[in-house]
Amino acid sequence: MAIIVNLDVMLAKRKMMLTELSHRVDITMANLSILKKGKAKAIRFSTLEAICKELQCQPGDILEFRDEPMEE
Amino acid sequence: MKTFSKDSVAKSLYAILNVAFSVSIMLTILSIPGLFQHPDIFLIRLEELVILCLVVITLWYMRVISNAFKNNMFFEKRIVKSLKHLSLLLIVYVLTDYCFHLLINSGAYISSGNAIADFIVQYFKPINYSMLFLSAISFLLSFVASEGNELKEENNLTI
Repeated sequence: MAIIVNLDVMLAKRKMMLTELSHRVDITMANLSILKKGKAKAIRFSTLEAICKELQCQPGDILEFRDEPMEE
Repeated sequence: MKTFSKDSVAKSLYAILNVAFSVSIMLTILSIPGLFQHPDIFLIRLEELVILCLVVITLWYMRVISNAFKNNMFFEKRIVKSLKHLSLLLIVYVLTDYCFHLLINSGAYISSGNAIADFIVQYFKPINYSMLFLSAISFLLSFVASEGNELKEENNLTI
């Protein structure tokens, strides 16, 4: 996918564990893990807002666009 | 006025299919010894046996689908497969029925004098159109289930 999730980078920058973020934003570990691994198909604005609020960052810090050739 | 809910219909259908499945298995087993008892009606007995075997497999798939419907798991990959298999089985059923009809009734037609009418009666009338129609519906339903499965997966992966 051309959209890369940099959640792990932001977590490392804020020195925060995924479990801690999970408790703070009230999203299950399983769902956050899917997001972190880049397996998610979509992200709700409310989720993005909650993550940005907790990590004190912008959506662009978490999501990144990379022009890659389409996968078969 | 009391109406039938989806759950009660699905449960009743599943129970009926279970009974029908058991009965068809019993009938299939019971029809095996009769296969070679009368050599002159061997083809008719063979047709019965083949059709019964197809009915058993069809009922099995219908049970799987109705069970998924009962448990609210209709948009699953295995249901898509089951619906496709069911559609294929119904086509096999129609073909088998048609072939046996031609084999058993070959030469049993009385000509009406009109070649076109004779041809239609001999080769088109024996086709089981209702089953063919059911097969097409099952095939279309498999596409609906496949689309539903994709949407469900997408929804599950929306965080």
